[in-house]
Amino acid sequence: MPKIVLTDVTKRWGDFYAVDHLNLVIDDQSFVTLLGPSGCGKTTTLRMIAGLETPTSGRIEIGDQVVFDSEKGINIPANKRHVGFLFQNYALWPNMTVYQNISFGLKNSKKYTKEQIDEIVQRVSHIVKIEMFMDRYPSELSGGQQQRVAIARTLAPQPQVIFMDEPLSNLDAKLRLEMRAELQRLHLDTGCTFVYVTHDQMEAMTLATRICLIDNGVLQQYDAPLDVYNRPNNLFVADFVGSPSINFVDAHGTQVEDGSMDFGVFGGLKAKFKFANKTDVKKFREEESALMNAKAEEAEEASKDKKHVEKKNKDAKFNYHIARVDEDKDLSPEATLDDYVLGIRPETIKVVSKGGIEAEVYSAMPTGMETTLRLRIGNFILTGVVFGGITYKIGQTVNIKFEGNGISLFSRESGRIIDTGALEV
Amino acid sequence: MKKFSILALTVLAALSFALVGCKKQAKSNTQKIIEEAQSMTLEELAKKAIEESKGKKFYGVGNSSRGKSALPLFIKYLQSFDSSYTLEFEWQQPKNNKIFDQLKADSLKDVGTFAMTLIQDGNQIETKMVQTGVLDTFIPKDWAEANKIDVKKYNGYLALQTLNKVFMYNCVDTTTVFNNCWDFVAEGKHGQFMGIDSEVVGKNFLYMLTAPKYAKNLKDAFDALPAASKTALQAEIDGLAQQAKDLGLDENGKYALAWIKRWVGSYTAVSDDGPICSNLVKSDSQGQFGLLVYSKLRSVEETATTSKNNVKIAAYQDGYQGMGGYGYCHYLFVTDNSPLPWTACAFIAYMTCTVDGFSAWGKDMGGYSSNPVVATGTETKYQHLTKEGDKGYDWWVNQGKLVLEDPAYCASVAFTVGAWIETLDKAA
Amino acid sequence: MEMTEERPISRWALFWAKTKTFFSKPQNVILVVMGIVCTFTTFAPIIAILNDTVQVHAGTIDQYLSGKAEGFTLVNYKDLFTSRLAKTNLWIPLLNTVLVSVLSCVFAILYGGIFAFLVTRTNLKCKKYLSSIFIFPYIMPQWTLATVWSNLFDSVAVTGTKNGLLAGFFGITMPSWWCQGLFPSFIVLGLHYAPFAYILIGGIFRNMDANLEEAATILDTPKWKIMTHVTLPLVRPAILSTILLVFGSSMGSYPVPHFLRLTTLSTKYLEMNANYAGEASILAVIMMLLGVLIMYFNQRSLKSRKSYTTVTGKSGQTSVINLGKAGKYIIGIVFIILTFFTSIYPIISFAFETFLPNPGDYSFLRTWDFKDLTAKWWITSENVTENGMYGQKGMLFNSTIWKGFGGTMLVSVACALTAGTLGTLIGYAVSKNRRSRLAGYVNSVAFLPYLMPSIAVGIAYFVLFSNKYFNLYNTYFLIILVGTVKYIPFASRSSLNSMLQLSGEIEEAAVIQDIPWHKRMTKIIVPIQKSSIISGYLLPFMTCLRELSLFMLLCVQGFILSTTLDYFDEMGLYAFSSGINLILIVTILICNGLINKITGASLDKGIGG
Repeated sequence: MPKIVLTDVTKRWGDFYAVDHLNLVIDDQSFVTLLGPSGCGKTTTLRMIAGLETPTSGRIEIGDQVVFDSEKGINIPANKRHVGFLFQNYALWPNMTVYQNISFGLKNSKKYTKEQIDEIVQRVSHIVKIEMFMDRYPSELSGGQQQRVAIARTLAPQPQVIFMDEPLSNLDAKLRLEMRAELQRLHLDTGCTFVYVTHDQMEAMTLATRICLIDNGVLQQYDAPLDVYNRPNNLFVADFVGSPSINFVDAHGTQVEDGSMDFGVFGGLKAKFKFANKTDVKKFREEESALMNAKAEEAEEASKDKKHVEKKNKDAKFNYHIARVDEDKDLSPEATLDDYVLGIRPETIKVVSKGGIEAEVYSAMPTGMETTLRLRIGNFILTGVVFGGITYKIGQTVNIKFEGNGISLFSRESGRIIDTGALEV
Repeated sequence: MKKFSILALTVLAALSFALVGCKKQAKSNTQKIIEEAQSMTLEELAKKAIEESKGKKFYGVGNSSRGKSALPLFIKYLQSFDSSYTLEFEWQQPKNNKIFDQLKADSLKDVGTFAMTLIQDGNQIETKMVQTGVLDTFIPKDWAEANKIDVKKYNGYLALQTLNKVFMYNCVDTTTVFNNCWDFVAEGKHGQFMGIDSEVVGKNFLYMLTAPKYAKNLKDAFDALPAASKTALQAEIDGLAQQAKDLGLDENGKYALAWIKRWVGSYTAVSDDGPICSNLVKSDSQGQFGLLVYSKLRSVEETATTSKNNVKIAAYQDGYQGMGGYGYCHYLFVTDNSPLPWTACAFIAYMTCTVDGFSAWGKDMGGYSSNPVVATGTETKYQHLTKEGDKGYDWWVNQGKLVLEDPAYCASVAFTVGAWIETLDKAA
Repeated sequence: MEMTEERPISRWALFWAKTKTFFSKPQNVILVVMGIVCTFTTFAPIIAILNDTVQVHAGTIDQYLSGKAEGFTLVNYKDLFTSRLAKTNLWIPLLNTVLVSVLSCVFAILYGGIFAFLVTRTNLKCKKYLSSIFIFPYIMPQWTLATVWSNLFDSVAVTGTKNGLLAGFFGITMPSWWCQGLFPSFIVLGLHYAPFAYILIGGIFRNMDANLEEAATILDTPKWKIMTHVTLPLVRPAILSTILLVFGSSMGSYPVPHFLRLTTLSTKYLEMNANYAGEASILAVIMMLLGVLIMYFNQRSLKSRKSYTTVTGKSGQTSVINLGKAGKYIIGIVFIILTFFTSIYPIISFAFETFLPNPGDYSFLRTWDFKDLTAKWWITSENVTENGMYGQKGMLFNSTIWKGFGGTMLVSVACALTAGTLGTLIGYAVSKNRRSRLAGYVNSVAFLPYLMPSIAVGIAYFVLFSNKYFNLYNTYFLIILVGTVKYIPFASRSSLNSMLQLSGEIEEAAVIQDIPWHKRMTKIIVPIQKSSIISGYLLPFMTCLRELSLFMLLCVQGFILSTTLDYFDEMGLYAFSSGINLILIVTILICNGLINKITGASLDKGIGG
């Protein structure tokens, strides 16, 4: 029932756009994480849906109810939206015991008798295992226990939607893992829609059914976690998701007749990129320029409107990072239409006994389960992950290959993905 | 900030428009009643008052708190004509100079709150109250007769009583002698006095010194000084001759200005006469002196370090030359928009024409009724002169050379001599 | 989706819907209502005074100079700024006012701030005693410390009035700068207002998470650097508030400079009021401008403020700095001695004064003969005029005093309730809308009256409400109204200060659960901020109890206790004024004690408990 729809929602303070024309549909019973770097507008988005912040313009629906519509002047206050909200700092009421904290909201609705309230408090505190702390005050609890109380309090009124604002960021690493698992279970047990804000991509990947990645107030990608990982919409998404980060490699070349691309990479090596699907790069370029023109036109149109406020925090082109030994030198020339960027996930790099290209081990960090390698090709450095406990010597030469169809190809012009494919060097 | 100020300006404009007062000019009802009342006896007035105010509430405002004690006596007096007569009353005594603001504000109403007032400071009364038509003078018939005044020709105020502030000094150290009023302003002397800015009536004393009569007094006292003291002062006095001329004073004006300059430059301002008195009567206050209300002495209780005998009244000492202090009046007025004009007139007549009416003040020494008949009666009844060594009004005016306040003169020099006084250096 | 079928709604309906949404938030309702009310209560007196500067006043200098009997003139401005009296009437008082206000601020903040630090953050001995005794000077009417000062240090030789205790018994005469003028004025005012600094700064210290300082300690930051870079910035909002309060109050203080003979704008105001009424009003305007200036600077530094949210609902720990074994006693003793002179000695001397046969007559201390003491000031039960009683009955039987006491209690309780409640609401609403202009406006406009000199506010209200239609002089309504307007800032400051410390999430957590506003206030916000809210009620209450400057022109003596006190003081009946002081102090101590017992909060605990 509670499907959440955001239509063209914008929030700005003066000329600072916290959220810029956001469109989003959150399905019932999904677990959506709003992900992005600090200050990207994800918390603002969450608070707008909950009703704690008023959007500048746009429309928000929860279920069949329009809770906000700037054009019609609808703005249903937070307390009438029947949602749950878990705050980053828990926001427990320090003057009340755990029991009072959980039951306070219930006591105010006339729906429940005292016995029923007791029962609900019992039930939710059982879920988060805090039955033994009922008479304590928040200040007498540890951080993790406070967090559980906060969850219990949020669950008590049985909301259909629960919003969480970085709920785990104040916990230590071990507890965070534990709570993460419990949240996942909670999502299933309650059958609620969860909207979860985090800047931790691991948390987003592991918890969510869908990730909504935001940067500078603009939606970058809204997909299932693995889709985001495997087929990032653009350079920013590719870079933000994944640890260790994706490798970017500048590539210069053209599409040849068999549909594959002939590239020069790593400052001179020849490479061939085969698309996973049939892709016409020329067509892509046409679409790309059309899109960019449309955007520019739109911006010009908007600036003619007197009420329009120019975005002070301008959307800049994502400045992708190419790891090199001589980092200080800036070598990237002006982008031409023959310039591309390859995105190579670390796990696609395989060490082979022969063939492929030669690389020098620049550093090796074994964890037991896997080893993170930094490999030097010329002046360029690639990060790779190999499984198993193989020991590498620093300075040793190895042969590597790029495996699978999961290499992404981006246009350098717009940063957008063209397609994924396989790379042979 | 900008919006703030725009808003402020708008509100300002609107309100100042509303605040610009409306003034009335017509010959008032009260003045007609006063005219009528001036030819009536106290009994006739009493009957009018009973008729007018029976069962009502009477508001009075005054500089003296004792109006509150006088009112019940007045009511009792009216009840002797009509035993069923009742009158509620409230007597207010505003602080500082507030009485003028209060009367002025009350005058804006069609019918005021206050029926009458008992007020001091002739200068301010003249300029702020009389010239503006806020207050009207009522002269009771008996009072005019006792003072042998023709009401029709009299254009002064009605005084209830005269109060005197006199020079006193601590005499524990017997070598301290003040036998000339110029000794109080000799080099290195600092008298204690209520600051002329906090008690404005003190300024009137200084204004009055420049009046020909009192300037002459100062000159005479100066002439009586020993030669050494004279020479110390002569240059300063002569230096002020031109100033006196500029201020429109006569040839003795320079003496007045010199005395004023010295006094303002030397006196120690004290918050009230009470503390001055307490200071002077202490045995360790040797050589200290002050100018203060005579009656304060009655409050002193004798102890090891404090005694009335520690001070002397300068003017009482043999061979003393010059003024012994100054006198100012408590005046009585009917407000021009008085709600109970007849009652106000009757009350005023009662206080000024009967010993009982004056007894609220008369029972203690220090105030002299302006009505000679009442003054005599009060002395017969309370015997302040015989018992407490007060020499009486006449003595003070004639032998004691009291400087008496003249409202008209004060008002005329308030911004000539007054402005000059403002420029004088005051004692630290 | 039925989106396509929707017709765009009319602009008016949109406006209406938006307005409705706006007013659905209680804080917005509060802001709008208080904005309107405060605009009137603040600007009406300002305008009345501005209007007064251009009016012709019969019988004053402007009538003489302009030659007009009524109407408008600018001659007052010309005369005040350009005549040869400009120096005496304007510049010197202005300079003195600025000096005394600045020095009072500095002194109050240093003395109160250091004390606050010692009490909240160290293991000082006798904290409880010191903490409650420290606020005594604020409880007592301002000028009582001034009278204590002159009773101690005056001498016939230097000040030419009487020998004080020091001169009388030890033959020590202090130099003139010590006895009167700027130095004692700012010391007395500073002592009087140091409790402000203590309460406000102490509140922050108490709630401040020690981790903030510890974090710096761990980074091996030198102690002084922690102080200047971590601790002081954190207490900066409190220091700014203190500066505002102390500056505004000292600037408008009349009695202290009056008693200690310093010419400031406020004493000059009263001096000039008789003959230079219009020019006096200009002085009042200048005082207001000074106040606005201070507020402007305060506002500017508030804008640049980072968010100091220290109460988050998480547990905060405070650490205690060790003063050392001897240190905690020595510093304790030093403060016990200091507070003895500022807090206990005045009370003893008040009590003693009520048994002296003549005002300031210390014969008893020489003779030790009980004949030189008297109980007449207390127990005389008939109306006598001799023995220095001035026709007054002894204090126990004096209906004037007890009627005044009743009036004072009524005024104080009413002012405390209205100012406390409105101020708390304003503080709450402003903290909820920190970014909004309306909030900024309401905050400033509600604060402005505090920065206006009390006497000027009193006169302005008198003028406003003494006209053809109203005459509210000498009514409780007027006094309560003025008191409320003037003291809202106490409550709004203390509530804003503490609300800013409270994370917004605490209330949002309740909003989400559909808990109605009144319950959020009464069950969550108020209990959490109990202490600071109670001090928002207590401060107006205490201040009202002994307020003189503000009320003295609005009622006759005997109407309330402080004017009665002043009346007796001026008459020289020190026994009575001292006795009334005692009554006031005892009343406040009882109230503070009761509130402490009932709510657990107390004034000296300030914000947070």
